[in-house]
Amino acid sequence: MSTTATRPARTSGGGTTRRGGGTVAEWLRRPRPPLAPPRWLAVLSTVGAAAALLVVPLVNPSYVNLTVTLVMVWTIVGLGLNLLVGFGGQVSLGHSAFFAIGAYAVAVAGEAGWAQPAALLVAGVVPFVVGYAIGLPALRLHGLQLGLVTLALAMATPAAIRAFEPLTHGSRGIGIDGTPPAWVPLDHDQWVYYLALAAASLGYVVTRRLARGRLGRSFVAVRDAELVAETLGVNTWQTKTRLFATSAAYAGVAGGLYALLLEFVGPENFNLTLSISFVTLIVVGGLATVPGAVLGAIFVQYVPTLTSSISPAATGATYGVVLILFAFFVPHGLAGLARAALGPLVRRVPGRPKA
Amino acid sequence: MSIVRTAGRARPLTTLAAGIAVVALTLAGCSGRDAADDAPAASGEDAGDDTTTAAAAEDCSPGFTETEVRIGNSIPLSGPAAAYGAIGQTLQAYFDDVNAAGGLELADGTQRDVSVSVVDDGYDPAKTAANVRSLVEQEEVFALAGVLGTGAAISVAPYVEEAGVPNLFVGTGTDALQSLHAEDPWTTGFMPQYGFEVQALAEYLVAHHPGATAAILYQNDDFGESVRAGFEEAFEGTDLEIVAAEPYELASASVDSQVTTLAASEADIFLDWAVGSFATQSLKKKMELGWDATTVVSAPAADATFFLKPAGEGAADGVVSVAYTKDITDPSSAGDAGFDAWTDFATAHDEVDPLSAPAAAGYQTAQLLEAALQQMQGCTREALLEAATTFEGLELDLAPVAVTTTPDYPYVFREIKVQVFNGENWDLAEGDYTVD
Repeated sequence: MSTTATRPARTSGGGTTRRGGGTVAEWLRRPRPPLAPPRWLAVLSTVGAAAALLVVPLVNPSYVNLTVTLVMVWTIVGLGLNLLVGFGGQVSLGHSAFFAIGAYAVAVAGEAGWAQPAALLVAGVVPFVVGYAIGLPALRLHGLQLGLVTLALAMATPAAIRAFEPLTHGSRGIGIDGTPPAWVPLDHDQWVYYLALAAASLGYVVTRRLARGRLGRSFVAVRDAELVAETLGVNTWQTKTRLFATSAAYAGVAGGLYALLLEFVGPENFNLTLSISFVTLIVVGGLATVPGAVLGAIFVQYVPTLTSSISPAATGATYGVVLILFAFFVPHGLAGLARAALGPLVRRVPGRPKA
Repeated sequence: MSIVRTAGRARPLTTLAAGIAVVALTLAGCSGRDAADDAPAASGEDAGDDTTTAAAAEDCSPGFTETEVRIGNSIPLSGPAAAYGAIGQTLQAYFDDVNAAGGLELADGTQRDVSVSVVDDGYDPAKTAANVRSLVEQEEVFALAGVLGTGAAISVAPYVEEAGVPNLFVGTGTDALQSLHAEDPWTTGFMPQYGFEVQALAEYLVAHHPGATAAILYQNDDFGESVRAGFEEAFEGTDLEIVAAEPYELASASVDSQVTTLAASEADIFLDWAVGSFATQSLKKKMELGWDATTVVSAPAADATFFLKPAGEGAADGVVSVAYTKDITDPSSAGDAGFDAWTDFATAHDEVDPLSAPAAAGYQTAQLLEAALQQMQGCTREALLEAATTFEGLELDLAPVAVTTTPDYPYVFREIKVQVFNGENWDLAEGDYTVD
């Protein structure tokens, strides 16, 4: 949505079909406006989606709930990372570190006997503070250098976990009690599902607000024209640091949910591969789009499992090939493809369009 | 769905509608699971009843029918730990042979196929958790066998306990299984308990190196600390003494400086608890320094092909470790019935490397499972767990000692041997060591 808000759409017929002209590659690369369904359709689909999401854990066995919960966990990471990378234009390969901090916050707080919602709050606050502290010096760097600093962060994570052994129990890991509080008549998988659903919905709404409001515009301004933004009174450095810390907090909450879901954390859970899957998530989903995080999360959860059932050797290659293909041919990601495919349909739906 | 949702701006109307939906569904939902809960179990029993006629009275667990027993395995087939995938592939190949020969005859006299589903988890605990759940709920396996890793074992423990599915012969020896055991007896470990390994080696050293001094290299975490404490405790009251101890970081580039410091102590025994390539490095450095001490290595590092021989000619001579698998790399073992059976099996299957330690572990896991299934009285998961924890002097093709298990000790090996490396192969030392 902000793609079109910030960059003038190059084609007037933004969402025309392939017949509109040009090669397939051009058609794929064309920026498109967000879908604009009539109000009744928007309300109906929101309620429908909410209802469906609420019913899922009640009618499905736990292995389905587990993977759907993981999709929501990745969605939360994707929302935060997309805020930073897509809207803010800052690269981070180190979000597995914040994810790990959040997971360990829940594990350690759980050992200390804290209630799960309180532990999840800590899982957001601690990475925010750490992210702010790291962002202060690191965000004075640009592009490649920032990428390298955050890469170092991701690579140091397992070692750092082992180093803080009195707290983290080193390579032995921590078992977590994820059973719901006594007053909740739900199973473990359903309880964590609803926690994740609440966090993901909140994250989704907040991200949309951020992306569309004054803050979102200042993020994009910093991304696209830092000098101009500065002359207009945007404190670019402050903006970037806050953005980084916020994005870290998203990853932290996601990490906390992940820990509650798996009921065990160990240093080997948080390696570089995890960070790479996060980056793949936002690129495949669509940079600078909010729903892209959901589509990307679905991709990283299900596609590697699918490819490995075809051939285990393909799993490692999937991310690489897909990243390259998307970077070259589908820069707007799955969200862009969805707009292209559904745009013409949605425009035909009768009704008063949204303002 | 999310695509369309994009468009829905959080308007008052939307919010209200969504809110109503939330409340309504939550209320409706609270009782919803009970029905859903019973469904899989019920359908499982139905499936059993369809095929079972006589055994129907005996309420079999899901995954057990008149013609088939289903077993699940989640293992890294991809990623950095893919080499261990051989455990799952060997398990599958072993039972493919059994099925081709008409199936496995169980205690009730009926022959059944044992079908093994192996799924890839890339050594990612999140994937292991998802795999285990889908194996149990979707494929309705009777039991899990040969799953790899400490993290995998601990993180799925609450689930397998609640579902009542045996998670047998997990590839770990972590002491955590022991503490878990009281409330969750459903998980058993394939490797010797790490604490037991230390105990056996300490006993060996006390008997064979009286009056010796020892220097220990260990991982700087609580696993390393527990190994060090274990040796110190075992040496207490004997004439052995630890005179030097150096921790190392898993993240460091080399252990050379630690080995140099330890060598300066001129200890007679080098307790080398470095893992993987660090073990190779330490052996190499020890030879460079001309430190003449008996080296003791941990079981995971005791792989001749990967870790000992690469240290160089003579560097690993006289290395001591525990033995719970026969030396499959030693051609002179030919003639031993178990070893020959293994070699015949491995050469008949392209995917099984006769020199691979993980494949041998998979072969042992398969034979343990086979024995447990054969000894099982009845057709429930409880019966299988009971059978697996009450082996009495079970002979495996590749185990140097007979396997005896008890319900109060969640590891396969209560008895192990000690082996000494001769530069080319392992020689078994005299004597058995039994867990305290």
